[in-house]
Amino acid sequence: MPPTTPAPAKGTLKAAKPIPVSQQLCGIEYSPKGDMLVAGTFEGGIRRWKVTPAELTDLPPLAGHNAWVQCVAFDSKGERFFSADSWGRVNAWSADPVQTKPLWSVADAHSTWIHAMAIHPKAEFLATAGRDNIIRLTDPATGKEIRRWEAGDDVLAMTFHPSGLSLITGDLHGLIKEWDHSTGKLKRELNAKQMFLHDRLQDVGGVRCFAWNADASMLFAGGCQPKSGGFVQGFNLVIGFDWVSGQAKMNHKTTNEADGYVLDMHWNPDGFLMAVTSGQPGQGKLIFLKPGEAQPFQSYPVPNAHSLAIHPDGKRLFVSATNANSSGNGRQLGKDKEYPANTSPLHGFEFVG
Amino acid sequence: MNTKSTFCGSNDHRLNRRGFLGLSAAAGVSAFADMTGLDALSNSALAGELKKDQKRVIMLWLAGGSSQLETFDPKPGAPTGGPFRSIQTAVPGVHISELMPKLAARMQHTCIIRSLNTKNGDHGGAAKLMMRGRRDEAVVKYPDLGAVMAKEMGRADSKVPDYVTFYTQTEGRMAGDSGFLGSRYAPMELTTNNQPPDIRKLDGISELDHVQRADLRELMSKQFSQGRPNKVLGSHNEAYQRVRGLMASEKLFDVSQESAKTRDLYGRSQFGEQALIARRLAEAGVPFIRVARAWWDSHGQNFETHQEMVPELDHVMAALIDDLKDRGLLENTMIVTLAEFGRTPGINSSLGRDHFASAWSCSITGGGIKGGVAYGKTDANGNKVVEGEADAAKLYATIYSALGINPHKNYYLGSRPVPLVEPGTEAIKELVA
Repeated sequence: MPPTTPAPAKGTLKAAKPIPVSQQLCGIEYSPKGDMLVAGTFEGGIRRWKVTPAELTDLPPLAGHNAWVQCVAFDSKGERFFSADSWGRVNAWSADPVQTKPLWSVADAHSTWIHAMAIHPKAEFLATAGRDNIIRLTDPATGKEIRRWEAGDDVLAMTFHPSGLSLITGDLHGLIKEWDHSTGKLKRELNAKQMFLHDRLQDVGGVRCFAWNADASMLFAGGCQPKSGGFVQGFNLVIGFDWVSGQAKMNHKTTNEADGYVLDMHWNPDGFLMAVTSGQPGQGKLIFLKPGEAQPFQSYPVPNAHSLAIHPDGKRLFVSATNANSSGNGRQLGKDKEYPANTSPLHGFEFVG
Repeated sequence: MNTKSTFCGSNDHRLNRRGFLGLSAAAGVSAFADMTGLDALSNSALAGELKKDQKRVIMLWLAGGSSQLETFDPKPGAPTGGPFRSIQTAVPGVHISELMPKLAARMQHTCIIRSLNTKNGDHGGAAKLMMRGRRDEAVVKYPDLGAVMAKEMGRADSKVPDYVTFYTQTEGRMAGDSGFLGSRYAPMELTTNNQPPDIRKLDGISELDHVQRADLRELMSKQFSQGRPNKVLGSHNEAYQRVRGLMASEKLFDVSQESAKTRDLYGRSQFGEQALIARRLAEAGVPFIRVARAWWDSHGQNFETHQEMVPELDHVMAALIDDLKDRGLLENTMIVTLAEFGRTPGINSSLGRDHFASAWSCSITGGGIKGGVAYGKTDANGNKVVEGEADAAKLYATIYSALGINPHKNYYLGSRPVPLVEPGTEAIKELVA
């Protein structure tokens, strides 16, 4: 049975039966109006669903990407959304469910894998970054490049300050950088080097996601504290920085080295973080965490969760996960002795009462 | 500020492997000086003979099992394809992963075998199989490729070791094994650093003392041997000569003998420096050198792992090809890039790939192999071999044939003939130059 556990202030969190999705999903995102859910896939596509309180209804998928579409983001008005893939392409789409052609498309926005994307609070800029160590600022209306500069490292996470004045990036080596996006100049660095490890001749870890609290006085960085390279073992780690001073005021680290990465986080207006964790095969969680408390006050198993979408009403959320039995050397093969493709069941939750 | 201009190894001395992608393909290799310091190579006639006649093998052993989809057999756009693109190589129609742009530019020298089906997905058993080309029997322990090369290509009067293996990481560490050929062909194993232990002359003995002691021993030995033709005495003297040779070969393991330019060419990583030493050893006549680079066992975060490690492999392979070619050694030096198996096309829930021996790849360059060939084919998702299936025996028959070793020859265990490869196995003719 799915877990049903009380959560403070929002009533009881109920888990719905997971919705099967025939492909593996990367990032998922609600539209600001809450009427659409979009997700990038591992097969160069975008899935869309019309959202009602009762159900998700499939909308025609969107083509126009290659490989992994890890980044999807709506602008604040909810009129457009943007997507970026691992071959370096960035697309803009209408939020009109009938439209299936991109508003614009830039094939070579980056020379390779785009890991992170953020949209300016007033939709003045779209920022992307990735394995080419470049930060690219794009005009969301046209797709034209406004500015690009060297990030200095693999950027894995990105956010604008809610004021719109700064762009913040998090990189492989655990550095959080605040940039003046009008010049591309570095303003300051915050230290999240706990999230990096050089082990087995590899660089592992990195800052994987950001969230702001309600008044933007705190920036939360999510990732893991790696214990080993290779088949990465690590502890969930969330560091909360006082934004004015840059001091780390919160350091939440789990005790199980199989917990893996915190891959997505959102701030709940009732004063807590909602996050999903990757875990080792078959593990992974949705956790609710209050700053200052040592452990999450709620935790729900969701196998290998990688993205979290919060409905604007704050009452509903979806977690994209991975199907069971998708790992291991001896896992069951298909009838032609092929390895079955993975899927991403969408785990829905709702606060009731 | 972030110290990004780094590569690998220690935190304060890294040159980022990913950074290789942004570097120029080759920084020029024409200015290499011969600094091996070996007597053998100071004799130009002997060096010429080595270059002309003796085949050598440098094996780059990717311990843990690298992914064929992120190296030699990409499937861009397939559900199994992962995030990376493929790129066109110097050979029309042949594409490899975008993580290997330098090898792509040198594909005319390299063959890829994309159709290995070796049926063993266990690290230990598969490593033994892929180092030998066949499975041990209950009463027969087969020699690995290094030991066979030591026997076939080693020289009794050589002043260098016949078989050297670097395995300084711990994952999947497996000792070289001369099997029934015996300890004469066992490897010099380096497991802690790049310098062999215990071959350095004691500090308390001067070079003059050392030479004079050897001369005295040789004089007395000659006097004793007069009128006593005896194999045991001969072997005894040979052993002394080899010990002296090995002591003299110490400098071969010292990369500081190379110019900064050459060291930069290979990269100042452990893997790059061991590859450079491997070239020095090959040049000095060592028939077989294995350089193991571990931590490919990417059950989780396969793509981040390969994004990190494949550019380093690409760089080292390109450096070896260029350097050997520049020195006129590529024709007789084979670079084998091999693992115990590949990785599953299916991407698991930790974004990893698991063990997979049914349809995977390796590459071979130089040493009598035909370059510019992509042999064999897998299906659209990489699940099965659909053309040119090759098992471990076929791979080894091909390697031996290219090296000029008859794969059907017999060794003898007492009176029992033991064929070098599984009986009935033929080389892949398309790959033998």
